[in-house]
Amino acid sequence: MKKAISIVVAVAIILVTGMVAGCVPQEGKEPPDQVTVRLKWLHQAQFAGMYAASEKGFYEQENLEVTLVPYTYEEQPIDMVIEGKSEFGIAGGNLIIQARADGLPVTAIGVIYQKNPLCCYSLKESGITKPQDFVGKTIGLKPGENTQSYHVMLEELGLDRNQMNEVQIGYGVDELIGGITDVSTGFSVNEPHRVIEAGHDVNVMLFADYGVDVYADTLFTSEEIINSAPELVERFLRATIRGWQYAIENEEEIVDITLEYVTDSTRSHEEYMLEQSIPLIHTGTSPIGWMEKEKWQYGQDILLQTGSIEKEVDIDEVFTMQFLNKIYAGAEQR
Amino acid sequence: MGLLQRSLRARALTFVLLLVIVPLGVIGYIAYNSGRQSIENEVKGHLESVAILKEQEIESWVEHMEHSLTWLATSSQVGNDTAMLTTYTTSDPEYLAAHESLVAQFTKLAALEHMSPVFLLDSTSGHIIASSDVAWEGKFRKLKLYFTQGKNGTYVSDIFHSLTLGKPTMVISTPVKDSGGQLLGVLAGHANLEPLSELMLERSGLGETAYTFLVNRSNLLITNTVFAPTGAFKKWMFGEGAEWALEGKSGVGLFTDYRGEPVIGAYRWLEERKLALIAKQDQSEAFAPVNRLRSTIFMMAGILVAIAAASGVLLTRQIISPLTKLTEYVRRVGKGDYTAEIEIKGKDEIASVASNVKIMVGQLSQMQERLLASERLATLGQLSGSISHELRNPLGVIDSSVYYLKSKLKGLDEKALVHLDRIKSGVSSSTAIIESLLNLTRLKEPQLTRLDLIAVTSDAIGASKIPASVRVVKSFPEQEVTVNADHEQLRMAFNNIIRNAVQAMDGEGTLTVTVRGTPDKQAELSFADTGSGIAVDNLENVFQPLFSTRAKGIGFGLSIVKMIIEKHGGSVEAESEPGKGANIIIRLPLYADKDKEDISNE
Repeated sequence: MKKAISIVVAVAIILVTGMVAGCVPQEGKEPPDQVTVRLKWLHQAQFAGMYAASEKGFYEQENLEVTLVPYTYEEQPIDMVIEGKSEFGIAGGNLIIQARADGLPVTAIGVIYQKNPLCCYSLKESGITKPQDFVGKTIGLKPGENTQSYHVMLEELGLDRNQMNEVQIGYGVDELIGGITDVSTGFSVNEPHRVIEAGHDVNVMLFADYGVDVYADTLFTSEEIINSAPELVERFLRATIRGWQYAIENEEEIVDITLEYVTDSTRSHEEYMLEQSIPLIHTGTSPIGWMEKEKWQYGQDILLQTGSIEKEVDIDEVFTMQFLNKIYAGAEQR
Repeated sequence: MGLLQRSLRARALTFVLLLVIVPLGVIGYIAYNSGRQSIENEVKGHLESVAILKEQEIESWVEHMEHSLTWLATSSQVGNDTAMLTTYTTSDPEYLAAHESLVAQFTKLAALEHMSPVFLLDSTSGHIIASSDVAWEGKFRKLKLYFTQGKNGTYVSDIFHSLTLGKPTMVISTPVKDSGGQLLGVLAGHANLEPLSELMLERSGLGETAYTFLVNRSNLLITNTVFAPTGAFKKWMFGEGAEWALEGKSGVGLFTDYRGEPVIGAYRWLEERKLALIAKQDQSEAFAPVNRLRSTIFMMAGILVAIAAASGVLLTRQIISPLTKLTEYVRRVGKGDYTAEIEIKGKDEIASVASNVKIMVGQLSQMQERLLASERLATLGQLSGSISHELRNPLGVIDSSVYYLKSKLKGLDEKALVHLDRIKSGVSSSTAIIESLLNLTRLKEPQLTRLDLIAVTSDAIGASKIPASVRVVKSFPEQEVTVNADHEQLRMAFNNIIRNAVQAMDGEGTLTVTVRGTPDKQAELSFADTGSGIAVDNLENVFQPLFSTRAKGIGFGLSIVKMIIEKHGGSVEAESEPGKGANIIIRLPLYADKDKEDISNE
């Protein structure tokens, strides 16, 4: 009897130890890779997919510890990545082309916003409905790509910048509402809604409708990282894409998660932003993150055309499909 | 298997259970399978029809819009108006008039065909130069496939989410050419997808879990479904049916859907639209009726099995319990315990076996006794045979020595002569005893002849040395009492009885010998003496060899009698009143001549 009891106890101890050991996540294998991502703007639903990947453990499953750093004017994402202070960043497609033209070795690994939400917006009562109406008006420009794209658009349309009064504005919509500007640049998923929330009707003019349909939010990293740590890049991209898919399929939940990151916003605004973003992220015709060479080429053409860049760059250095192909192996064969 | 061999109950139960389970199982299996098969075929047929129907409806909807658009594009009015726009500039009145005309026509078409907006694209720049919705004019569509492809021929785009419209749409475009075939512009219209959604949402009347949906090449759900009312463009479907359809196949089958549930589904690849159409229903719902049947059968089977098992147990108990008792009884008897008892109620086969066994046991015990007796006898026989022979020699020597002494020693006195005579008499007694011993062992099969019992009896009486002090009374019938017997043996037997009777009377008394016939065709002969009698307990034992209550003499006599009489097919028994005397009664079958009647006396 004693022998039987001691056997049972021994087995029980082994089982319990095994269960406890099994419950502990596989961190014991290797420490996770620490990664920082420079966001394209302040924390908002625009980056819902990354919040999803963080909170739902997708980054963790790829053995990554990801820190999301919001945008500041002083620390532009491309600069941070080049200086090695961040591994990844999000920037507009044309900025990446431009960076390459300037000799900075950054490469796009996937696109979040396949459709460009850059826009100009005006109060409805102003009657300004198309760029041609900008003549003689005050245009509020956000620094960075908004400004560049705006210039490109005017060039495309053959409008003279000197006929407009350009001023620099801050992060919000105050200038338009306050009457300081007649038209401001922004993102169709963001600023126009804030104007509506403030109680005004708004006109939205998409840059994409007027010839500046380049990739917007693009995930990029440095050439060095691609060469030295390709599977790190692949893991990060895979988890991020999973995050976006989850966010699209579970809007309500993701809005809740986003609100934990956001400062100074309302639930309805983030809901609106996410809702509006979804069709930009995937239009239904290609998988999340997909990139087309033609579009990159077109983007470069526009920049050349408008003099934003002086010489052509090798478009194959601007972006790489290697990681998307691995992640979607076989999916796009149809 | 050992259990089945050892236990009747196990066999019976197994048999009964098999009898219940096997047919039920077979029937149930067949019923279930055929039911399931027929449901499957029906549902498959239905789903496939639904899928084909919807495919056709989708195609005809698209074709309709294509035709309307193409009709408009090729109309001379539109051709002329477009030519105007390309010739004049925006400030010219001709331009404005043409523009207004186009807008009017576009608006009409948009309203009619639910295509909104309808617009004209400049063939070179790709700008929208006229539109049913003014806000669209001036917008840039150079990169769009519907522009680049629409320049060459009628083009239908994939379903995609339009940023400008703010919802999913499909664009149909077609070239506008002049009479010479020169491209003037591209006419395009955004199709309203409401009809498509309604089409897909239409329930096919199959059940709660049945619905149809469209999926594109990225596994993205294109139309809302009943279960995902806002799922369009927000949900990815990775079920097997979708996969097969996306590989270009069309068919019906059983597969796992995107939820991991088993379903019956029809899947079709819409080549023109590059979409997969799936119509499916959960197997659990479709097969519910036959699954219910299966559950019912199982339940019934369970009940029947329980009942059968219970009855089997009850029935076997009726058989097994008495059998067990019987086994125990036989075992005890087998060990030699003839006192074992058994009681089995009822009149069935088992009770009959039991009572027959009891009879058999009775016979066994009798045979056992007889065996013991004859064993004893046999041993005795062997023993006595050899002893007798051995004894004869010394006795013979003594006898002849006595004779010699008597003859040689003439001058002996009286006392010495008396002693010599005693010796001689002792020798002859011993010799007599030896003789009777040998007779016992030498008893042969009786030589049966037809005899008169009376004559034999008289013979025996005469041959026995009955002292004068014993009075002999004979009571014989007038006629013969004929038996089939061995003369010598009978004489010997009667001799023994008479000698016994004389000894019992101590040489004084009356010996009554009676012969008569009995009603049941037997001859009865009795020897009654007036001796000391036999105790009740010993009435049977007197016929046992070596039994004797007398001090002298060995009790062989009556056992020889019994042997002889029984060999003749008769019986012998003793009656007695202790103190008054004993009566030995012999019964023998009468001589039965097949041709004659029996002679029965009295």
